[in-house]
Amino acid sequence: MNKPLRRVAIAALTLLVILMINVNYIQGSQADKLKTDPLNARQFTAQWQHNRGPITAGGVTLASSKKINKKEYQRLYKQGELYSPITGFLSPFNRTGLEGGYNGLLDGTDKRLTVRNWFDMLVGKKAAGATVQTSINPKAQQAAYDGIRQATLSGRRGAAVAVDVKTGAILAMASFPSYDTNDLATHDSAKAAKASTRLQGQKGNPMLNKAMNEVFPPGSSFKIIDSATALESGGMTKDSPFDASELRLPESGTTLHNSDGDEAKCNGSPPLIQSFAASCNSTFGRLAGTLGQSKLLEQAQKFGFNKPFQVEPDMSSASANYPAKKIGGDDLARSGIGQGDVTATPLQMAMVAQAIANNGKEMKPYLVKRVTAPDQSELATAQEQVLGQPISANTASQLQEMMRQVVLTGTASSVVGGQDIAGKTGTAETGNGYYDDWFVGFAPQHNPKVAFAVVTEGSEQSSGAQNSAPTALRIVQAVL
Amino acid sequence: MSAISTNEAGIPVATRPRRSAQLGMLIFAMIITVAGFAQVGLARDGSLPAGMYGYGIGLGILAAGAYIVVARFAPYADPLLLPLAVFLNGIGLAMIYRLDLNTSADAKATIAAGKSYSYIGPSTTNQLEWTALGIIFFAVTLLVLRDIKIVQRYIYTIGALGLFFLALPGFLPSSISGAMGAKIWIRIGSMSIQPGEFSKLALVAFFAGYLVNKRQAMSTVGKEFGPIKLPRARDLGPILVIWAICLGVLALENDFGSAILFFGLFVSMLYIATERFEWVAIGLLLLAGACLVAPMIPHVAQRIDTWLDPKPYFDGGCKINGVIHNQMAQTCSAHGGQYIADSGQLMRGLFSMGQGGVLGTGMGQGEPWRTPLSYSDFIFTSFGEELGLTGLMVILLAYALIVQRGMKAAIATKDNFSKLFAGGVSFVFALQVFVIVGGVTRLIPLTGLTTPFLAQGGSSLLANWILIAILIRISDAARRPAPQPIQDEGMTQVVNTA
Repeated sequence: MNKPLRRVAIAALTLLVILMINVNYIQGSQADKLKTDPLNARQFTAQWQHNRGPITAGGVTLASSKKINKKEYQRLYKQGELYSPITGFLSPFNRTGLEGGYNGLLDGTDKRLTVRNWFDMLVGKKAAGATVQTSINPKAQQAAYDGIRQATLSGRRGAAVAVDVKTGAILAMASFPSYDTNDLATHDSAKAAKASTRLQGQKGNPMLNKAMNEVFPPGSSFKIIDSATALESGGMTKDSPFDASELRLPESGTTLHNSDGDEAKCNGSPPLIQSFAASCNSTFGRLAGTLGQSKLLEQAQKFGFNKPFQVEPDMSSASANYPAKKIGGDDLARSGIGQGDVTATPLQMAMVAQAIANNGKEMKPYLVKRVTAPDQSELATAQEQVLGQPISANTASQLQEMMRQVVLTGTASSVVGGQDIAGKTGTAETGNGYYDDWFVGFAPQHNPKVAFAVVTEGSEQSSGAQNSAPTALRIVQAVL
Repeated sequence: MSAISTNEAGIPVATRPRRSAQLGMLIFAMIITVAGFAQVGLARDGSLPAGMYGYGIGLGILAAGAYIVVARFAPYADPLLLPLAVFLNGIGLAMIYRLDLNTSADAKATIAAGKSYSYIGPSTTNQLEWTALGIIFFAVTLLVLRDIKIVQRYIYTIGALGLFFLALPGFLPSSISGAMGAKIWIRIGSMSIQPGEFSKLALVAFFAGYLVNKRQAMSTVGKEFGPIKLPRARDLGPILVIWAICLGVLALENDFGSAILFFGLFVSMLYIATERFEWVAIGLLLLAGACLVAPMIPHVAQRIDTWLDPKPYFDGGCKINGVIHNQMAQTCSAHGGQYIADSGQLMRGLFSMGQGGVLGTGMGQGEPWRTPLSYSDFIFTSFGEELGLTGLMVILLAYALIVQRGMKAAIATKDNFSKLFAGGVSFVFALQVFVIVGGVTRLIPLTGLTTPFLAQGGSSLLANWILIAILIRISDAARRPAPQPIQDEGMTQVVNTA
């Protein structure tokens, strides 16, 4: 009986070897996936036990941890309303913003930290978290938030984004209305759930980061993209004359109106730059029809439309939209003035301005400049990355000139006329009792350093220049 | 005379007792156990826990008693079996102690808040009492069974008793026998017994005895069907009848884990006894058939569904026309759902293991209590969390060593009944570990079986201690030097029937 016994012994031991392989697979290779599984509630309760590292901006600590009892730490946010789009929060049931994207580094469980702290790990001591240094300029952030808060109509929304022209680093990202992240960072799940429900019921969705996760009709600020298309693939220059006379829409025959007071400028066949500075709807509605949907779509997509920007891990923007499905002549004309189905996130428009200011090179936007271990050694540093070259350097320089003209003699001259700033105004009618007021541009006028997009929802008497250009100016003055 | 020589089967055997090796390993097992208790206390309160002395000394005395009995009454026994059992029992006790502290703290808080608290959960005291009883059974088994052949005389009685106890819970009212979807208990007052654990041993004994008597006939006489030679009906009949009764009873009791166990038991023992591989082939074919038929039983189908894709069933999923709806458990039948299944326990067990990673959180520093039944069915994942992959490999290696030592005793012994008995018992032990550990680690669909020596539960502990006693008895007989012949007649005295 020894032969079958040996075989049965081998079979029995094989079963145990299979179990060993399986536990190796689970705990060796699947552990991280299991730890972060959305169904796994322990990641949210264990999170209080970590001495999380701070999130900082230019020497200011935005988020920090304080020991509240033998085992737990409380997360504290400085000026939660101001910095909520950047830090996000740590609640009993979720993590948003950088708190989510950099969770492993912040709480010390990332391999880059645990490997160097292997001895601590062996004796069961928890590793201290890393410091996440953002690229935010606190003064610019404050200017952005104050500006949009003052300009936004009661009950409506606003957002502002400023990026470094050369690197793509986000210098300011403000969203209004906002919320105090501290309300959600309570360890008491009932309280956190209550705060979350209360905020979700409020007007303007405070918890949504309007600067990158909400889209608005870009209005006339989209004329930058029309012009870019005309210069890149329409065979035109900024000085090419183009018919600016009253435009009747091809299908319905209704008139595409210019704004009041601009009728005098929007006549005859002025050079493109002049129609751009005066923001003639007739010109750009007609231009859209001449260029055609596919060229506009192609150019918009080169700037990043129709797909999200990946800003940081777990921090992606919403997608700006230029219609890809075939649209009629009326809608095509409306798309030229940033209406109809065209929508954009403030981040998208800031990146359009950044590409123009950077001689046509669009950079990848990012928020985190550096991550350092508790011993100050560097764990990660931002890698500047070129997303693409949506326009040539020549087109970029002509567009810069056109955007300067808007400030010098055009729609923004009455508001920021004497200032060293360039941009394009946009005022989108929504038909809901408010206008979306845009100012998209860069500063200084020559050798630009900051690109920005500001959108505020103002009254039906407001305009992009009046309502958003002052905020943009405050932001660039804070940076420069 | 050298200490190590080889027997007729070519297996090296000790020809003198290895008491010091056994004692050394036993002390090592106790050190690990006490260290486990100490770490729980240090991690939780920063001081050595009071429980360490009480439970540590308690287990130490029991282990010492077991050692004395083995040293005195089975001196040639394999020196690893007892230390392995004490090690597993000890760390199981430490883990139950750790989980017990946690729920006790919850209980204290609940009572302090003025709410009533009914407590069913881990209990270290209870488990230590059962350990004591288990080691007493171990000692009694060794003392009574001075020769394993005594069992051979009573195989029919033992087989009948095994079958009776296996069937009993199925015929008792659910109030006495049911819990968690299976009817496998007998509850008397606060005591509950899982008779299946003992039936398992009894049926191995019965089959060993029966097959030893009939093996010649079964492997030689019979009808031929092509390449397969089937034994005569009167030889095979009793086995098939008992097999059918077992499986029927288990289906009645919704105990599919045990069904797999008994199935494996029959096939492996038939193969060992007859040395004919056809039995394994037939067994595998039947298994394949069962795999095709089983999903038609709703209770099995939902186990398979939650195994294949557990996520939709997390904390209760209701299957309606092939679509799984989460959080509809309350209204499932009202919506015409086929069944409600819950993968919460399975997923939490896996999350627990994920938390542990390679090195584990350390005893007392994880949150294994989050998994329901973390102290019994899912104690393996609790170890996965607090001792990590490293600890689980040690536990699985300890199981593997028990199996290997048992098989070694089976090969080394000359008596055919002992061979079959030890081989069957070892295989069943390995299969049980495979079914429960594979179940909680999502290797196979989850079925409830106890994790030998680790899980809280009296019957399982008693049965496994008896199992170790049997293996020790057989290995002692196998390794005991043959009595010196009065007249040297050379090898003619030794008959190798294997």
